[in-house]
Amino acid sequence: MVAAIRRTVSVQADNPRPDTGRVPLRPAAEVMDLERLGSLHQCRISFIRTLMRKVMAERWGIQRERFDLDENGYGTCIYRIASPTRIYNLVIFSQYLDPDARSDRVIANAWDVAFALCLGDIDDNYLALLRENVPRQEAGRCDPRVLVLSRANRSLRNFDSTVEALAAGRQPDPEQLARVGYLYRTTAVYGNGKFGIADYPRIRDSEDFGLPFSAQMFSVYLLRDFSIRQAEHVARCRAPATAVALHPELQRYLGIGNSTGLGMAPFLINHPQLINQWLLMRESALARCLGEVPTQDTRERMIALIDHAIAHNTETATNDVRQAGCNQRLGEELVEARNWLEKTTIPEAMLWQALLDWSRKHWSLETQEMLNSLLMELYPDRVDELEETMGASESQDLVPEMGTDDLLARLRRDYDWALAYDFDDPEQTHLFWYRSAEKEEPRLGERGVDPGEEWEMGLDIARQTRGLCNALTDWQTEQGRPTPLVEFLLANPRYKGIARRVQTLSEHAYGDIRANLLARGTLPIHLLRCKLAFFGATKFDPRSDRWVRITMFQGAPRVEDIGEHFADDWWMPLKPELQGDG
Amino acid sequence: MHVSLNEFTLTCRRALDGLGFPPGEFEDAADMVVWLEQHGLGGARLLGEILPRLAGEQWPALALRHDDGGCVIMTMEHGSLLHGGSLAADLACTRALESGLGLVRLRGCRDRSFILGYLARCARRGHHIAAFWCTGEPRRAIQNVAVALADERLPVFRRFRADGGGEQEADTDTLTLMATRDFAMLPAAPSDHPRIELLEMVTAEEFDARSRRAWDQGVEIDRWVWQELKSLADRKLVAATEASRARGAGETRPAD
Repeated sequence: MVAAIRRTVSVQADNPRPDTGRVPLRPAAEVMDLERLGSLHQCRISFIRTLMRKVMAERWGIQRERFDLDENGYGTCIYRIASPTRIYNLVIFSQYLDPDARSDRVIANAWDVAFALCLGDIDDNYLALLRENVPRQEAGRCDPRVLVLSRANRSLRNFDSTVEALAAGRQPDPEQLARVGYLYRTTAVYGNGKFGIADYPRIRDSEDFGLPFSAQMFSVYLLRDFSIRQAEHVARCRAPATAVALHPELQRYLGIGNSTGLGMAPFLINHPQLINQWLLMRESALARCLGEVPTQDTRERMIALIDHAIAHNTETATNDVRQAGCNQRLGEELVEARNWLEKTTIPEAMLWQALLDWSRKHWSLETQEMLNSLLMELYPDRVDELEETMGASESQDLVPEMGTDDLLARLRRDYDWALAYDFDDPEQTHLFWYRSAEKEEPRLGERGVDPGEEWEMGLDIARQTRGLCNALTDWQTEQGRPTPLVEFLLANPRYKGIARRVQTLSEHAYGDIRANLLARGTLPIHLLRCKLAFFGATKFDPRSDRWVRITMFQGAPRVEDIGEHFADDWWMPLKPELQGDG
Repeated sequence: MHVSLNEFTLTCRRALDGLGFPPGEFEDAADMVVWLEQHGLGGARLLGEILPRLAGEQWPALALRHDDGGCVIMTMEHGSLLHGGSLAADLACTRALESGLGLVRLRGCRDRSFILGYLARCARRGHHIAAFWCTGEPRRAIQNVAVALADERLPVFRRFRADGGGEQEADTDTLTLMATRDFAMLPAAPSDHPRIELLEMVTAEEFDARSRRAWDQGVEIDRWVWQELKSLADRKLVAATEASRARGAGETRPAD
């Protein structure tokens, strides 16, 4: 059965707050804890889940219009995409990459493929312009016809072994694909005006790519198809007589990797209203689900989902000791959760809340948040509509008439977590963030050891908050009374930024991440994981405390599956058991 | 050179940050520059003209010279409006909320046209506010008037020459801001008075069309200005070392 065509229209009011029913939202102190944010998993309203629902429901037409690759897979490929409203083209340039130049770091200057998602059709002249600029990425210049600019590198071990197997008439080993579930890793996916491409407002009100990062995610989705077709093509060129196509189940099992470093971290600090909106929608979805009264059927489905998550977790590999420990504990606790659900006699009307409360007391953050994601799977009618309001208006305006006493009260109410740090303790200012001259990459330095402290980035929200609090207190003492904030700022202009932030985020409880990012022992990887989970990433594989590899779209429908039945249950795929292949 | 608005905004912010503008101020100043460019009033060119001066100037103190509760006079030592001058508009709005009318005269202020973008922000916050400033030569003074109404996204802007024929003084370093709480000032209709020569009028509708065009197509910036901005932004970049590559960015295991 083919699902009815449904339109997802992203036009929304600024920063809406949905009704959540009888269960209150979790407090910001709990939700915005850095370690918890670093334990999030994909959920129904993660961006790639939303994207796949949309593409499948609206039956987007996707054709490989051009596939000019040589025997090594180098050349040009163009996908033409017809959404219900527009025509787009994804142009991919594949080229030889010197192994010495292969790097996932943003500071690299060459990649296996570079690609651009363009609005409208492409003529030869424009293709020539793209060919000149897209492979150069940051060093090139594009124009507003380009919506997304990105690049990717092959996973050498997977790409080569997959080609080798297909050329020999075999299927690649699913075991290996379970360890690394992709043929290519993206290393940056640019949107919103970078290097001359279209500003986000150009597509914000469009029905196709209005939701945050949807154009970027769609480009990555098509790269996944390219990676498969390219591997098959190279195998065919290498051994025309014996080569076979990749098994459809393995095609679905392959995703796209992504390698992410500290470059992603400032985004979460610099876009607090957007982060608030993402968390608000996720928490609203959770609260709505917690308020549902389960039937025997939904309880059994939850148990089945937990079993599935246990199996998926066993196929998640990482060499990172901390993450491996988290994964192991997740697996063990999910078994406990399953048993708890089977045995509990708690009345149905309180069951989900009781599960949440039990998990808070007894299980790790990873397990708590996995259970929350699973719970949302049970109630798509209560959850999925929230995907349409993941965008946010991001203007932070000063309220100059606010009394300094009022601002101080807000500071003490909303930023008590920040004021609790003792910034006279060197441990609390051990780190500093700076931007490197190498492609402006954000990096972390050790204060007093590494150069660049004087050019520190302003990601120290907790410390700035303390500074503002002290300055306001001193001001009121000097003046003998509270004054309008503007009078304070005329004498102390350097506090304008943090004052405005505190004012704005008083209305956005999930905007600020509650951590001092300067403290010794801070794990920036938590910041990365939070954003990646909202993208829809799985299989978190930290390479250090500042660097992580993930997989996206693993298990997602293929381009060929568009128009077929779509169950929307693809997000934790298990290793395929191939019958009679290979 | 063609750039997107977001790219221009980020580069302006980083350039002004590189010049030493404090947090909050470098964003506001950059946003005022971008607003002018986005709305067809040459923000990038203006910024390019004043960059050498901004780079050589200390942050001027905004000093209160007179305050009788209804009228405030401030001076800023011939600094640029970008140097925190937007707080004068905030003060006018604050006074209007307190007493119905806020009148602030900011003397010794350069680059006053940048206030237009900030008026739009004040209006978005629910304030009625108007700005007046004078440019040109004595007896050939050009009056600039911008009016922004509460909750409207965009102001109306007029430039006209009101030649009295006498010793009209062109007060070319004062910005007058008037905010109101209980009544709204409407922009005057174009006059056919013989002594008033309308030079330019941009309606909110025209500003809106220009803005949409800029979002859609980006903007053209002089290459020299762009390079200057990039160069200023680079002041806050830290030279890379092997240690920063390895430890600062944190990749500890090789790629496969």
